[in-house]
Amino acid sequence: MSASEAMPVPASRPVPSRLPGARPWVTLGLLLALMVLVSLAVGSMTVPPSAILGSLWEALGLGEASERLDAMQRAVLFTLRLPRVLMAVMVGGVLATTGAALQALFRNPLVEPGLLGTSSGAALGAVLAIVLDVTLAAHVGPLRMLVVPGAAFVGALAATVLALRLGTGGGRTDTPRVLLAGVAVSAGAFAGMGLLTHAATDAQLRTITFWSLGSLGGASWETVGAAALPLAVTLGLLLSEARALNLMLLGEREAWHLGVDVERLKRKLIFAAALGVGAAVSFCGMIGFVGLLVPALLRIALGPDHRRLLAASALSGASLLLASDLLARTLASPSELPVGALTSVLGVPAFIALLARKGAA
Amino acid sequence: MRRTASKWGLVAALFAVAAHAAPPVAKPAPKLITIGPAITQTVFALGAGDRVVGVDDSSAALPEASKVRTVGYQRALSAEGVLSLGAGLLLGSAEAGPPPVLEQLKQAGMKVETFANEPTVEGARARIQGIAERLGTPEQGKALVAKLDADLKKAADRATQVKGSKPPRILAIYARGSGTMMVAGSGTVADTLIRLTGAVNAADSLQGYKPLGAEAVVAAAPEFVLLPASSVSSVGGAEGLAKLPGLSQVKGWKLVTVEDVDFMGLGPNLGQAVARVQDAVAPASATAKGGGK
Repeated sequence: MSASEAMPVPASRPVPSRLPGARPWVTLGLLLALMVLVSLAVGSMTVPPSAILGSLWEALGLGEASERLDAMQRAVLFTLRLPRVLMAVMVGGVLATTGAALQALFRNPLVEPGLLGTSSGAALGAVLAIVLDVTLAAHVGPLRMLVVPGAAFVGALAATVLALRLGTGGGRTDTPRVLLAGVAVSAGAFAGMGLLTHAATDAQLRTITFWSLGSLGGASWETVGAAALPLAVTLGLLLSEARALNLMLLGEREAWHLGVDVERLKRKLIFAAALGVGAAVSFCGMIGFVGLLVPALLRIALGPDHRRLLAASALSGASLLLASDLLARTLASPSELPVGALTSVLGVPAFIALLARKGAA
Repeated sequence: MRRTASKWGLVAALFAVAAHAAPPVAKPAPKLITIGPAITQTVFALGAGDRVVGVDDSSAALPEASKVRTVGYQRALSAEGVLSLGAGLLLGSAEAGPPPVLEQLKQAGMKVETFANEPTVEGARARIQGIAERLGTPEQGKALVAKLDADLKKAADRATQVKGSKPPRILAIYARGSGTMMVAGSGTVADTLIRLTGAVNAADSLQGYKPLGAEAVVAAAPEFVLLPASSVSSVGGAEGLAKLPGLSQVKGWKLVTVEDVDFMGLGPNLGQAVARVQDAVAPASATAKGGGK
């Protein structure tokens, strides 16, 4: 109880009393739109940028494209880049928004989805599926492609539920205890992965390594379709609680007195986080740092009002992951760098700069 | 404007004439991407090397493929990167992937074919023949398999010649830095290679690749240690190996290397690799006859 009050969310400015202004939306929205267009236009395969908008209009049945793409260019644009861009937007947005919501809920700016055990639970599920692949293949047949994402998703939900259960005592969710439980669940998951990697063959070990580095390369219309529902539900659940999260900044008891059903809020947000991060990790592997970095930076730029912070996190997280993925698939073209490593490469210096600034202040 | 149009018309007409004048040419064979060193080596050995526009990074270690662009690690291919090279056909080992990317390539209209990676001579024959048929050169495939069989026959004869003496014990190690040492047990490419030379795999009680345990190495008592050529420098050469726990306690072993491709997959040059290992281990098994090739 007392520990939960130990680390208030740092506010570089007081909570603004006025309603959120329009400017950050416009800027961040335009940035995202620009990143989407650049991501569609740039890649190892040349697709004339001038033809992209026309082709998109035509695909939507809104008009004739003035410039024709050849079959290969169309395939690259519509079966590779477009689903990949959509996946990056959804996953980046959800990871950053989840980070923002959890940081407010736990009133700790260093919380990210990984701390609840969600990511490591997902990883354990995926590793299990990779190691059992040969055994499973005989039973699941054509569903084999879905085994790893499915197992990762189940692992994410199971780990988060376990952490939440362990952190709940006498009907109350004790926030620091949930975090401690998350650490314990993560440690357990990593131990399990360690044992499984011992049993894995050389080939499986390499698959595990590449999976854990994260990639958007597997995005297709099927995976985008499958990921869209959980990711959209997560985003909806998180965005709907901006006001309650603002009140939580005052402290749990104060929020409760102001009419927030604190218990229900906690469970709802943690469930949303598990759902969203589970879906993201299961389709794209581990993509670190987006959930930690984006909200932390935005809190400095925009202040701690969650009515802006959550949606701004969604827009910026999407842009950051798009930018990282663009670099991942172009820097070493025609081969590809792991995007999970790139988000960290982009994020770590920014984060260190942030910490240094805090130290000086 | 009009003049340029007629000029282009003239050029087109000339081309049309030229096309008729030239002897009829078959439709150009599709360009290729090859994934996996054994596959790449086979394609080059079948004479289709000039059609290869992209290889995976372990294939790039082959001298014949060193100038070809690389598309990255074979299990982490990028669909767009592969497509950007303009190839129509991808020939890969069973490791090529990840599966969703292969699926994307197929959807984008590329032909994708993977070949099983069994570490047996029978598997190697089937792989060569399968690739040859896919490239439309089955006769070359048969010739290549015949050459492989002849090489292996020679190696087998040589192995029987030294049968009287005790077969040498070889320990095959795959290493990337001294931190990651794996010994090749039975069911691996290295194991097949060792058996074909007539030697004994000192780690044949293990299945697949297993981490190197110091005491197990002492117990295995290898007379020779077999490494892929690129691994040798990563462990600091023979001196580095000699300092490793386990190997440091085994006296008198000698280092033998093979090309990386022969350690990782059984390609068309398998017979030559076997002969090279036999050359290297021959002095210890005390044979003067085995020297000639």
